[in-house]
This record gives sequence, structure tokens and C-alpha cells, in this order.
Amino acid sequence: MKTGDGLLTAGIDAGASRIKVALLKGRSLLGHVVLEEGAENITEISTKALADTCRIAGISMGDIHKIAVTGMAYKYVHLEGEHVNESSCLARGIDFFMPLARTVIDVGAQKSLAIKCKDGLPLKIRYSEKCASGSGRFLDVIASTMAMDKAELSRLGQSTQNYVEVQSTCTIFAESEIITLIHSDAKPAEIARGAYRALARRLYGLLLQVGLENVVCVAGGVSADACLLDELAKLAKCDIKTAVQSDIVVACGAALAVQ
Amino acid sequence: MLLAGIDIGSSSTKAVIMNDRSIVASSLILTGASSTAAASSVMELALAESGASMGDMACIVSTGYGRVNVPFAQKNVTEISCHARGVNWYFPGVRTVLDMGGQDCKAIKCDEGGRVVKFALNDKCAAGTGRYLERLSKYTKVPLGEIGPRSLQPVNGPVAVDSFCAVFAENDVLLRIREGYQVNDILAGAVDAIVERIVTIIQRIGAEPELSISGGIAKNSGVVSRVEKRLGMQALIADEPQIIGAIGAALFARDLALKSGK
Repeated sequence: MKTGDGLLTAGIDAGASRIKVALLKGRSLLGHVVLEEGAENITEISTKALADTCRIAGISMGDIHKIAVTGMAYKYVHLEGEHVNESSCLARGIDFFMPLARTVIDVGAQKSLAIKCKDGLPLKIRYSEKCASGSGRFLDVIASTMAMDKAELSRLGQSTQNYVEVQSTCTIFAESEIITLIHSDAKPAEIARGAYRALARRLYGLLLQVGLENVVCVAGGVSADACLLDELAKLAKCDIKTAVQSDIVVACGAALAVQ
Repeated sequence: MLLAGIDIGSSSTKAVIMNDRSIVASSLILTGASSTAAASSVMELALAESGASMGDMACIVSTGYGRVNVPFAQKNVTEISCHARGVNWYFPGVRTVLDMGGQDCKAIKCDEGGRVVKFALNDKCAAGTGRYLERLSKYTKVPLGEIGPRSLQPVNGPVAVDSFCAVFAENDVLLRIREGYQVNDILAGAVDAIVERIVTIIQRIGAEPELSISGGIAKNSGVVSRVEKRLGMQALIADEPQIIGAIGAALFARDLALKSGK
């Protein structure tokens, strides 16, 4: 249904920890909202996020031509919308923000998705297993084990170029390993760096599966973490870009997918 | 001739003292922070029970995850070999051993002499290990020992748990509880999910009768009965399934003592 550039569409990306909504008219972004799901009901919070976005954009819900829903928790979004798969949304979204990107990895709270893309279409797609070791959750657990928040963990990791090898893949085992390291002589900054390196190595593995082609770009909630980008760049031996407004790349892609 | 086997696992440490091929004493303690300290304590306990002293041991072999940290052992042998050997002592007809411990899960195919023919191992992921059950116990507030029986008594049938990952299980389980599902039904779904993981490990070696299950999870009736059902085989379980590795280590100690005696 390609009926022109002026259609008003909404994209809802219901992830494992946050709901992201973007409202687009043609290729102009009118408004966006990101809400933490917390303990709340995804159905209710997605409805609230859409209503908030409409308010910010100064339009009414009735003006929306079409709604697209994507993300791990899309089933729980009970708005009248069309389901679009995440890889298509990611490809379209990255084309909107960074048209030169060819390899993209979206690092989510529960899983990661790597694609190779061109002109807004995914050419090759790889999802990580539903395993915390290759997701943002890994860093959450490490940070809480080290009694700090993620921002502190990132700052600590960036304060050194040295690292301690974190050998466990499973986040649960890594937690015990980190506790052992804390009680050994290891420097906290080097433990933090080691944890980032471990995550970066798994993400790099996923990127290799789709094939690295410049420009390489990271999207999703964890993509703004400088320490992660640094480690990923070292492994990939190339520059790693972050999408502007990397949180809502997939939501924008969803909105574009139904125009 | 007195012999000892020490098995230092990620969560518990076991010692067995044998007189030739019969068990004289055994002990089991939590490993805690130091494998070396755990090895000494568990050995002292077993010695006290046997009435023998360290000097009476003709040979001591260590095994398990912390096997290199036993200064008083003459040799260390991998836990794969020790489990095959230990199970063979208990149940000579066993060809497939499933050992599920605190931090790993292994499937071993062995021959009539208790020698390893083939094995598959998961030591990378907590799903299908004791750790997963410990987490499940924490999230549902059901004591570890009750998880098995309760998972076998679903009220309205098992509730599918989306992910086998022990980290994500927290969100899944809490969500299901909030949605009002019965705890037994959630436990049934979660145990179903990890048994599927365990079965894929066994399928990598091909299960042949007879089957024995050892390690801490052998005490979980929910896991055992599901594995039996999936494989269509009854599992043989030792009275104390956690000391199988230590028995195997003591038998290797016997080999060593006999060899050096010649």
C-alpha cells in the first residue's frame, strides 16, 4: 500500500525491557517516546506510549493511518496494527538514519540481531540465541555484581586498556567468576574491561556470520556505551558508528514499513 | 589396601574411601570458596568415619572441576573417566551415563569395562544444570527439594516458559506468576524446557540401554522422570548419586597402587 509520502504511521517496538514508539509522516519524525516496561503490563504501557507520542506530536490517535508492531513482545501489544519482523524494521530504520550503513547489529536486552543491508532491505539476517550472554542483560548482571550501575561500569572499563579475561559464556557462571576475580588481586577496571571484551567478542561473532561490510553500525539500547563500541572496534578492526537516536531505529523502521 | 577418591565439584565436594573394591566410608560437603580447603575437610570427615588415617591410604586420586587443587592426591583424572568407572562399579550393565552437576551436564557412553567410548558436555550454559534449578527455586520461592515433585503435579498443565536461559527465566517466571498461573504449572514448564536441553546433549552420543543418572540432579524426580519418558528408558540411580565420581577416582587409585606395587 504505497500511497505517497505524506502518510502518518506509527511504529511500536516492544522489546524485552522497553517500549519504543515513533510517529512518522512520510520521512519526517514527528515524535517518539521510550518507556521502561518495569513490572507493568506491556499491553497497557504500549497503549500509553502511543498516546504520549501522539500528544508530543500534537495529533490525535484517529489521524494515524496505520500502526506497525515489532519486537520480542509484539504479541502483548493489543493495538490494531500490522506485525512486521524486526530485521525488516532494522534495515529500514537504519536506512532512515544512516543510509551508508551496510552491517548493523542491534543489541537488545534479551537478544541481539545482526543484518547486512542495502537500501532499507535486509540481505542477510542472524539472531543470537535467546541467551543473556550476547545481550545487554549481560552487562546489567556484571554491573550489579560489581555493585555499580551500567554507566559506572562503562566509565570504569574505559579508564584502562588492560583487561582480565572473563572466560564464562553463561551470565550465571560469569557472575561467580567476577566474584572470584573481585576477591583476587584483579583490578576492578580491568575486570570491567574484560566483561565488555567478552560481550564484544560474542557480538563480533554474530557480525561475522552476516559478513562485515563498511559502514558498520550499532543500534539498540546498549549502543551508546562507549566501552562496548571501543572493544567492538578493536575486534572488527574498523570504525563502529552508532545510529543517531539509536533507541528508536527499529520503531522508525516499523513506521516506515507500513507507509 | 585402602584407597581414596576425591571429587571436587563446583557446588559440592565428595570423598570415598575404599578397601580394595568395597566402600568403607564416604562424605559430602559444600565446596565453598576454596577447593583445597574443601578437599582437606571432606577427606578428614571420611577418614574419621573409616577410622583410618591419611598415612593408611595406598593411593589417592582426585577428580572434578577442582581436581588440580588437591595437594595430597597422587594423581588427577577427568570427571568423565571417573563417572564412567564409578557407574560401572555400581551398575555393570550401564552404557549411557547422564551426570548432572551444579555447573555442568554431561552424557557419557561407556563400555562393559567402564571405559569412556564417547561423551558430550555442556559446561557453557547454566540451563540443564543444578544452577538453573537453584535459580528457579529462588524465583518461585519453592525449596529446591520440592521442585521435582511439584513439577510432576501440574494443576492445569505445564505453562510454556519462553526461554531456557537461567537469567531470562527470572523475567519469564515472574511474568507468569503475575499473570496468575499456578506455581506447579510454571515449574512443570520450566523443568520441561531444561529437560529438552539435556536430551539434546544425550542425543549427541546416542542413548543405549542401560541408562544411569548421577550427580545432584539425580535427586530431582521431576528431571529424572521426564528424561526417562523422553528416552523411553528406566534410569538406574545409585543410593548416593553424588559420590559416583569419587568412587571412580578411588578405583583409579586402586589401579595406580596395584601398578606401583608390582
